[in-house]
Amino acid sequence: MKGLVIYKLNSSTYIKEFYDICREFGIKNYALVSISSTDCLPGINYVLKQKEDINVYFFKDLNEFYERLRPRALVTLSKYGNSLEGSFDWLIVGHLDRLDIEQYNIKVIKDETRLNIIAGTTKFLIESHGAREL
Amino acid sequence: MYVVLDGSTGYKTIEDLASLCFSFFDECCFVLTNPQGNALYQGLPILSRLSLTKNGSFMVFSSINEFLENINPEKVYVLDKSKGQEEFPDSLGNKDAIVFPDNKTKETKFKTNKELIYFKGLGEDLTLSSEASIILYEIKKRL
Repeated sequence: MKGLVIYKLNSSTYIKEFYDICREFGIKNYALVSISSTDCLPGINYVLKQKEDINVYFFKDLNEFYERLRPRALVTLSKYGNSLEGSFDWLIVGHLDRLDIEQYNIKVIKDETRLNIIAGTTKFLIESHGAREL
Repeated sequence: MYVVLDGSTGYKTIEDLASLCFSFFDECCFVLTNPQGNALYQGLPILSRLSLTKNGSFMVFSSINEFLENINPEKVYVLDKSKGQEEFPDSLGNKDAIVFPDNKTKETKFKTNKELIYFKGLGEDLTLSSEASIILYEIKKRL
C-alpha cells in the first residue's frame, strides 16, 4: 500500500490519529485533501513536526491529488461496498459522496463492523495487509 | 508546477517562498524538502496556516530525492551559481519543478537519473527570498 488519504475530515484528532496509523503500519505517504478549517492546524502541525520518513501532502481537492500523485487503484470503506478484490495502492477515508466515487473511480470495500472510522480503518489494514499485530 | 525549497533552516524563507507560490500561480504546489532547525519548529506551522488561509497546496519530504521519486516532475530546474549558464528558466510547465537550495554550507545531493537543468540566478548579494521572487515573477510574466 502506497498511502492513506484523509478527505474532508476537519478534525485535528483524526489527522493525528491517522498519521499514527501510518507510522504503525509503515505507510510512507499521508495526504490531507480538502481540509479547510483552521481548527485543524494543531493536527496538521503535529503531523509536520514528526521526524518520521512519511511524506506529507496537503491538497485543495481530490482533482489535485489525482493529477499530482496519479493513484493506480484507490479504495474506500463503506457499509454498502463489495468485498476486496485485487490490490490497491491508496486508501481514502472521509466524507466522500457518490459523485467523488464515480468521478475518480474509487472502489468501495464493504465494512460490516460497527466500529468508528479509526478503529474500522485499523481493522481493515490488519486484515488486508496482515501487516502488524497491534 | 512545483516550487521546491531544499534544506531550509529558517522559517522566513519558507514563509516568503510559499506566499510567492500561492499568490503568483494558480496551479503551483509548494514543496519543502529536508527542513531543519527553525524551519521545522517555526516554518511548518506558518506553512500550514498560509496554505489554509490562501487555499494553497504543499508537500513535505525528508529529501529532494524522495520528491523526485514520488512525484517524477517532467523537467527539474535547479538554482546553482557555479553550474548554471542562464539567469533563469525560460518557462515552466505544469509538471516541471524549480528547486531553490537554501543550504549554503551543504550542497544538495541529487540521486536521480533525471536530467537536471541548472540556472545561475541573478546575483551573489541577494537573499534567496529576493532572488526567488524576481525569478518567479519573470516566470509568471512568461506564462
